[in-house]
Amino acid sequence: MKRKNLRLLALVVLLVATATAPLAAAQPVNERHPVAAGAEVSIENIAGSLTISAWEQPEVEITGTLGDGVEGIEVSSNEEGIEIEVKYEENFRGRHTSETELVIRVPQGSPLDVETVSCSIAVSGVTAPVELESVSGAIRVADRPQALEAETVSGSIDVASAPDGAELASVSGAIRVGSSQGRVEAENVSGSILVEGGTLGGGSFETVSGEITCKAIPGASGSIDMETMSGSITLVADPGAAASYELETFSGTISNQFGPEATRTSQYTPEKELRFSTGSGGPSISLSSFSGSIKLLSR
Amino acid sequence: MNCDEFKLRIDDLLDGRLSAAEAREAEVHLERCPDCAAELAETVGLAARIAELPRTLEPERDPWPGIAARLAEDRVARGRFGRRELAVAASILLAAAAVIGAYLIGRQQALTASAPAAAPAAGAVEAEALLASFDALGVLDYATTRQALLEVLERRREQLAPETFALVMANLELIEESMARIATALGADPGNELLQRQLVTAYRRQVDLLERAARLPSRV
Repeated sequence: MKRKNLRLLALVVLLVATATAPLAAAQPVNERHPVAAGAEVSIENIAGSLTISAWEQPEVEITGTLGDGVEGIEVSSNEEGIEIEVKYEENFRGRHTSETELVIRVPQGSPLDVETVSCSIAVSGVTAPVELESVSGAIRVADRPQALEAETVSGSIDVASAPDGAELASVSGAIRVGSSQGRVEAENVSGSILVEGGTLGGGSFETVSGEITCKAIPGASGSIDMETMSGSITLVADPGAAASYELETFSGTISNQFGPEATRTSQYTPEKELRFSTGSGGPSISLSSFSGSIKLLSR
Repeated sequence: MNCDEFKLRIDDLLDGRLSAAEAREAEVHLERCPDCAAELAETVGLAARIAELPRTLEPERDPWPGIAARLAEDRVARGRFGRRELAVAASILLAAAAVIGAYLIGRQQALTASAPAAAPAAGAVEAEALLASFDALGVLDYATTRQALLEVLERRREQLAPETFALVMANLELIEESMARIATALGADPGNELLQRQLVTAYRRQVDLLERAARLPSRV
């Protein structure tokens, strides 16, 4: 009987421990801090997720939960800005049963600067300049900020509407721009670059082995340069729009749906080039590769 | 099909992109034109050599042990000899060795293809010529910068997640492979502006990646 009671007690202790462990790990957060008009909001977090949206209040609101290994949130502010840092225990060795998931509301006109390691970043509604950096977390920007810089190593970058002068960079994460307005610069190494729509007032897209695809409409002037080593380049353009094209590859292929064929530039190397214009004036479009294929498709 | 039309279609012929009728026309032309037959043979040979290059230049699966070892040697050497001179020499050699090697392979292949009886080029002279061209392209600073960044990255290795470090190294390797391929082609065609631009772009991409890796935020 005693043995049976002991086993029952052990089972109850185990169940209670199991049930309370996650509750103890996830600490709820709900705090607000005033922010001077136009002051920058800086946020740092290592792991989990950050969902950031804009509101019209002159303060920052932080809600959500803090995961395992987090000591708390450190907030410091002055007239120039407010810094929000999720502080981690230096020697945390426990199990990560819960992540830090924060929902942060910031003043609509406050510039935003976010840095994470494996934490995803989602931003919406911010109209001021935005600077986002993550190592492996995905970055998503839902609306068009005044200016945008986004960088990852392996995380993807998804921008619904890129502002003029947007700068996007990754190493292996896919970069996608839903719509562009003005000049966009994007760099990748093995990841892809895709510009799905909008108008490009200019642009520079570079990869080493990643694919580059652009379906945006080139603006009336400016230059659009796409360069890759071994990746492919695909540009979808309007044959009726005025533009001057310069396509060149060392050992790749060039296909063109609405202009002349590429010609070899030397009898000793496989290099090919294609230069032609549609109409008069318009943007200068340059597509260049070492061994990747180049396709100019008709819209 | 005349000679000009045939030459324009050599790549399509080799890639199997000609229609049956066009392929037959090309075949008929080849039978009566020794010049075009020779050009086709030359192109086939060049394509075959280019196809072989990556295999001959393939680096180790994990290049980091070799790079780390060279860095360690460099540190030892600095202690024994003049620090500044050795640092500059080591960084230039480290950065340029693979590219020069690739350049020399390409140069040798080009010489062999154009003049089989010619004596092999002197490696040291070719290396100096390529280094001079690097200088003209403004990439010697790159060599010093690259070396310094590799050292920073090595010191920060423990602060980065292993998968992040591995990913950075894999992409550095990818860039170096591209650089070696471009350098090989540049060896065969030193004045090629497209290749020069591509090589400089590759250098810049590598330094950009190293700079970013060196300042990545630390994990817990």
